[in-house]
Amino acid sequence: MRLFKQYTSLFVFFTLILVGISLYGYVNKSYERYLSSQQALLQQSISGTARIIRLYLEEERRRVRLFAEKETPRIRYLAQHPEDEDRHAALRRLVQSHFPEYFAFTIADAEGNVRLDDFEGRIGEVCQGDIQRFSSPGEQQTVHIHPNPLGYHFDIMTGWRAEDGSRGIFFISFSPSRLAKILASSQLHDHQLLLLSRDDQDLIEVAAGGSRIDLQRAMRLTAEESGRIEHNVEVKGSRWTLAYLPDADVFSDYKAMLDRQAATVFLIFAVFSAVMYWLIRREEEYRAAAEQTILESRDELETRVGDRTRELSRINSQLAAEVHDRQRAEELLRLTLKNAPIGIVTAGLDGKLLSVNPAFCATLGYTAEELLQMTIEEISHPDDWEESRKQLQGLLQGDSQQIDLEKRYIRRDGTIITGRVRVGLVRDANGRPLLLVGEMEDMTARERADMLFRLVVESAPNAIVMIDQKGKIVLVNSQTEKFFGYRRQELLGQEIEMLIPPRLRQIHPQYRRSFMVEDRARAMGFGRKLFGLRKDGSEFPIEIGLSPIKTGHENLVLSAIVDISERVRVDQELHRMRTYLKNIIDSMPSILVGIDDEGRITEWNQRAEQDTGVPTTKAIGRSCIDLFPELESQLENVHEAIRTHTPVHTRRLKVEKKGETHYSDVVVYPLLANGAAGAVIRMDDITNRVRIEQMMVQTEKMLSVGGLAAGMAHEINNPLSGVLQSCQNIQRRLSVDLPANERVAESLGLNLDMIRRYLEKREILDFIKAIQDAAARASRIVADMLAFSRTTTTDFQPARVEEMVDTVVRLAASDYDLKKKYDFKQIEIVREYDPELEWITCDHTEIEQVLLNLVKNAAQAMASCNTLPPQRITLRTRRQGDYAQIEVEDNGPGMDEKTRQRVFEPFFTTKVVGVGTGLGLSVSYFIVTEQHRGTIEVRSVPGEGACFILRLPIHGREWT
Amino acid sequence: MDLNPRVLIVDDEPWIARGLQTFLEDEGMRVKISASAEEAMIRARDGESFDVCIMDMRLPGMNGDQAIRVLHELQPALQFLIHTGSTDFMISDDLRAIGVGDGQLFRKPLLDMSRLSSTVASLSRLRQGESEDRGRD
Repeated sequence: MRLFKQYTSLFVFFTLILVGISLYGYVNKSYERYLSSQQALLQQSISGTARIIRLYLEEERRRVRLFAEKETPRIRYLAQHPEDEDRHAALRRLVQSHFPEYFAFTIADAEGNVRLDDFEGRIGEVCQGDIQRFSSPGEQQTVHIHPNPLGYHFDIMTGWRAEDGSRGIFFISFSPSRLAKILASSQLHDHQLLLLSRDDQDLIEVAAGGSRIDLQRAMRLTAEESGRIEHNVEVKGSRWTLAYLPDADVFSDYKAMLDRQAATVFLIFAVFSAVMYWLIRREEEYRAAAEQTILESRDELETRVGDRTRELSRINSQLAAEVHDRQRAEELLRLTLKNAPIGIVTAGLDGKLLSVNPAFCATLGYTAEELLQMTIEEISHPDDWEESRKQLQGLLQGDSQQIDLEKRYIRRDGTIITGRVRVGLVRDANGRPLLLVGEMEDMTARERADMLFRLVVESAPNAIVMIDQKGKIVLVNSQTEKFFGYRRQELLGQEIEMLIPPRLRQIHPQYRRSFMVEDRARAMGFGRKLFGLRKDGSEFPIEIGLSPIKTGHENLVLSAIVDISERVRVDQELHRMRTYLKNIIDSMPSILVGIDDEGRITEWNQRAEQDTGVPTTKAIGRSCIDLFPELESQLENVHEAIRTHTPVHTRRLKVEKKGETHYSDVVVYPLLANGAAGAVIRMDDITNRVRIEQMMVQTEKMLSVGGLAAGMAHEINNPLSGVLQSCQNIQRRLSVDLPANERVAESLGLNLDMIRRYLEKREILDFIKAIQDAAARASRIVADMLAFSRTTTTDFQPARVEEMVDTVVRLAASDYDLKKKYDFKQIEIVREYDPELEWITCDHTEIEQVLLNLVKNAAQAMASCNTLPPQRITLRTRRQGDYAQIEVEDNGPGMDEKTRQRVFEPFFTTKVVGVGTGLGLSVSYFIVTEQHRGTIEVRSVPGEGACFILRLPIHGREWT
Repeated sequence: MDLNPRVLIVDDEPWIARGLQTFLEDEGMRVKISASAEEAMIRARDGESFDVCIMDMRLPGMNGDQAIRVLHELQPALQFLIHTGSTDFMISDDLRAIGVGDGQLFRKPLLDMSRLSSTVASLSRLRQGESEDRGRD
């Protein structure tokens, strides 16, 4: 810092130089970068433009050549007949139409002699020269612009050769307008693009904005301009150089701008530095001056103070010695009187007050002046005065040396106080009484405090016990007597441990001691359960608050004890009640969910836990809809119930659960306790009841079918009889086996064999068979239907389940109907028998019929859908309490839900017409549910097979 | 002794009766038809003798059950065969007493008449045997 101060000017100077150098560097660098980028741009632009011009020239050359080739006959003709004006005009029109920049055209012979020119005969020397160059071999064709009386142009030539061998030169002159356009469009801002003649470097052939004709400036570049040109490119195929004439000022302008900026920055910085420098310097000067002044004044002050101090201390010690001796005694007395905490008073022998101290005044509420006008009698309570007077008399007469009594005084405000007063008599040198000296202590405040303390302690609702350091009881209140059953006298002085149950006595002194050390008020036991011991030996729960108390010479502990028996009892009762209620709720078979008015769960019973798998702890507080999405529709009802104060019922709420349809009855009960609205939702799964109802409907249907069948069976069987018998007779009478047939045929001159063959050929016998089959089926349907009407013919006998199942498998394997459709042996039969299940009481033929039906169905289902091998039928038996369960499961196509629901309906069939009567399963259903009081159901997932489940009471039908 | 069984069919359905008749005749039996129980009784009373009677149960007028008992009175050796269209028909104790057993109960429609015809044949042999016994008596 000091270094900085010393070299400030130097530092500022160097900083300025540094800034200057970096600004200079920055300017140069920027400028170079700008130049190089500009030049790269120019270079790129100029070579691009040169390429465009070259392409343009080549294109025109190509087009002129093509034109000449195509129009050779006309050219030749005009070369030979230049005087033919019409043809000339025609060719001009043609050329004009092909070449928009057309200026003129010329036809010459092979030697370069012009035969016809379109310049109205005024073809220039330059053109002539071009023609000569073109016609002389080895000369490269180049293009340049040249004037003519009619205007500036450039020529593009080509040779022509006619079929008759004549040849020549044809050329078209172009105006340079297109070139000017190219230049104009390629020109960069501030820079002129010029086409210069290569023959004469400073000659401008074309400038942007036009050819030389309308060039606003001199046709030649000045020496200065030539010097400025840095970029030029030769345009191939021409005698031109393309050059950029950069604007004279553009670079220098930019440079100037950069310089200006740098100069401005530098200037600002310099001015700023100067100001700063000046400020720092000024500040330093001020400070130096101030420091100097301070130094000077300090020296002066020190001198003065030293002198004065010495003088003062001398005076002081002198004075102190004097005062000390003279005033000490007096002062001491005065101070004593003034500051004594008790009232001190002197009075004459007549009782008139002579002096009072402030404590006395304060006790009686008078000022000193007032009191000095009064007598002892005036401030004493009238009732006590007589006694005081007597005592004073005794003192005066020398009966006593001193009075010591308690008496009442009347304060200035009329209140009465009790004072303890001691009075002595002052005698003169001769022993004669001179005056009375008294001290008075106000007892009122202390009395009051004592009384209040006793009252507080005694009337406290808690037992209060105070012990000393050794654990001895020093104070108890009446509540303690009540709680513990001891009398006060029995407790005082005893050890506190007598109030503690024996099992805790050992450890208690230790706790006690540690509390003494810890020394701060707190609850005892830190949440442990505490008990007090009564005199009769019983215990009761308590809570204890401990406070340490320090008096001057001893440490005490005050404990406040609360009997919490009642609270504990209430707590237990509450807990018991809650458990009881929870048990009730949990043992309900219904799902009970309590929710608040926002749908959050407040109560969750065990059934709900089981149903959802969500434990109560997790469910409380969550949204009811999360756990029971099906209750979404019930929220409305919750509000309804709360609003109307009546339960809302929803019957048969349909719920999809794990792919199964369940039905629930839902009741929403409003809860309106303590103003907090909420509801209890009760849900009962009534799926089973619904199913039973559905089955009853099913059974009803079948019974009606059975009744109908019984009535009409006879009527149908008779005609069927006629049909079937007739068929049999026809078949037999056409057979060759019956001799009578042959006889009759012979008698008619017929050959029976031939007839037979005829019938076979015309399939007559098949038709008869068809009639027979149809009638047989009709008869089977009637028989099946009749099965529904038989309710009393069943024959219940004990049967072995396994045997029945095995019989069915055997029957199925040999079943004629089945054999026709497929090979039963292909099907794998899996047997899963429960060894627990042996006998059941049933009509075994009927149960076998049912099982056979199921097995056949399974086989047909698998066959009909071409189930891929292995086709499998699983036969499963299982004992479930008092029921035997028999399952027939296949791995066939299964069925959809709609089919599943209707599968037991009479006349419902999915089989091909003729395969089933549509009654097989309904008969089975009837047999199982009606005859045996069992159940039959089917579970199936489409594509995954079906499982029919029979449940039969093991001990037979229970008649109800 | 003529061994060709003589059969009487009692049935009010002409084509059932005709069908049975045809079939049995083709077996070589001699078959007569009565359209009612009353007609059959007239035949029996008129002394026409039969070995086996095939009886329908539900008939106009007297029903089959009664008819069997009456015919049995008239021709105790006559054997009976029941051919009925009613599904709940059970052979009554009265009929069992005169020797009509479950084997003689045929329910309509018959898918195959040959079982009936063989039963007729065996019954007729039984009847002829009885007649011979009686003849010896």
